[in-house]
Amino acid sequence: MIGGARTFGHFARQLEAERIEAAPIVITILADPERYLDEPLAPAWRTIGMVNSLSDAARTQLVRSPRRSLYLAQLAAAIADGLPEAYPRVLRLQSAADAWKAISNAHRFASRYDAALSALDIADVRIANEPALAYDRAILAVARAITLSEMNRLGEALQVADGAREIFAEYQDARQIAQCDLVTGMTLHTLGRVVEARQAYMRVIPSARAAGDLHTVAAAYNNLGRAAADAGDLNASVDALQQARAIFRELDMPTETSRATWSIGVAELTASRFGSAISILTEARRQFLKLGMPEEAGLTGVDLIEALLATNARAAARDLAGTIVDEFRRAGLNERALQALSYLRETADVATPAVAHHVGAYLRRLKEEPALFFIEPGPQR
Amino acid sequence: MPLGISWRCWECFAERDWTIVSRVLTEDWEGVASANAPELASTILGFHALSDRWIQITHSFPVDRSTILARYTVSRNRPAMSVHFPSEPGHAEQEFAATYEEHYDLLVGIAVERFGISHADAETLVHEIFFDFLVHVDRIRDRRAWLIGAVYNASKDHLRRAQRVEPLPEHGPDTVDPRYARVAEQWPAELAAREAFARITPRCQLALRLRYIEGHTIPSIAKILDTTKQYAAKLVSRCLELAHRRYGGRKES
Repeated sequence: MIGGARTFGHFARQLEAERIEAAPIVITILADPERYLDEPLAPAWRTIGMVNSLSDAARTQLVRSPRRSLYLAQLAAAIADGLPEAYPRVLRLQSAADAWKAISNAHRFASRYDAALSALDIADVRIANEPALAYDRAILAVARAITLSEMNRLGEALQVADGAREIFAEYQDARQIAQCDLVTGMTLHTLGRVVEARQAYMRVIPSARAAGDLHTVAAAYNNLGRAAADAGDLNASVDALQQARAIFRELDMPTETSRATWSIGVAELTASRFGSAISILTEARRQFLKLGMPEEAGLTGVDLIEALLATNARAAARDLAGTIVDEFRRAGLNERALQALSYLRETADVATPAVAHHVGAYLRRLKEEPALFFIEPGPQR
Repeated sequence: MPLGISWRCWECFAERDWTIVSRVLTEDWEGVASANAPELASTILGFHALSDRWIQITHSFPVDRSTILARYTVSRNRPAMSVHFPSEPGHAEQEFAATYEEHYDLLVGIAVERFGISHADAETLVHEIFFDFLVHVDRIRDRRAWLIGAVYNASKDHLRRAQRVEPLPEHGPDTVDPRYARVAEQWPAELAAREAFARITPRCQLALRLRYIEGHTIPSIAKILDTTKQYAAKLVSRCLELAHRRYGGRKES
């Protein structure tokens, strides 16, 4: 007999089968996703399994290549918007909203925030009239809150994250609640409301742990460490960052592990524990170089120079500055960055740690404002 | 009245909701056995089957004015899908079916008793919730809590929407919706247009949908597709021409 529970069970199996069928196709598409945007779609690709697999692939490609992620998500959206009507309407609309969210993510990762919001608007419209899709609307709200937060529209971001949190609380979904608290914490942190930010991060940890979401636990510890450092609570900062690093290691996430190591080094440096800072920052820099991340390696190196100057190891500081200049040049990084680093190398014999700190702060700002001029520090330094 | 079907029924077809169509077929139309209803509903709604067969089927239904969607009363029939099912159910399938069995009555009961939603609407909401559950099942840890949260949210939303809708009078005139007055003639054209649209490239589908279905401006399309305004304008115009060619069945030069 067809109907009821058995029908839904069968349908679950069909979706699973579609995803299995889609997997090898998506692997082929991954090689050159843009090409497939300009070829007519094979009818066999018009399945929800294909849309889900492409949207998932778009998510995994975000960090590696936002552009490739965008192409995959566009392909997913084109298929989703034209799915056969034999599928239940809610499923068609849900998968279309998910594909448009993937488009939004790709734009956000490439800092195209207006486009990211437009894509979220489209996703929202897809499911706006579906009472059963409140959960999906809340997921879109979290994406919107993150985007608004990155756009510095912090008040709006807090409001949207609160609304989503309320919905997830009704679903008792600890994992999503943790995501909302994480966004809230990051937004409060940017607003300079460090005490509230720390409270929000603290809320994330038990929820995410209960949900088995170790990545979010690690992110919360990492941010908690940074917030504690900003509040001048350096011991708490190092403790939290060490927790984050341990989890990132366990999750086999070398980039995040190295970033956490770097943050621990910076906290030690701020706490004037220079010996420890030097050894930790040296290790972080070594890891970044091994991972082929010259920019991060360079920035870590500048922090290391600050620690070396603080211990009067001037020759080592000068040599390191020269090495970083070479690395930046080889990597074809910003000329202005080279100018700032060259200044550091030339003044290493007389510079105070504050000069290195000034150069480091300039290099970090340069990532946001590539046209920013380097101004030498004043005589007080 | 075209094909002897009231316009409200046409509305239900226009919505192409297999749940409703399947139920209408089972409960209101004589001669359609309940076991065949889901398959028939899907045949009607199926993208690849939206063709002459659709017209044939609808022509053959002995429908009168009393069998309209607004009046259907829901029995314990549950909707079904018209997918091709393999004969041996798998573990995930059994698990999902068990979750459904365990919670279905509870969820419908909440919607009906706590929110005063009609049984028919409650069942539709719960079915839709189960479809969404299916999408998110991998990340749900407490299924019961999730499903109950979902039915609370959906019921509240349903009631909010219902307040904005004025019900049709019980014995009011049941006139033909002018949009469907010439549906039999329009349908082939619509099918051809859909077919033409399906055969253009995904990039073109996105561009044309954004421009002509969702009303985005060229600068907005350029932003969403991450391209220049000039290219977006050219893309929309080229894709429109391509769709016209496909629609007309002419070969590309």
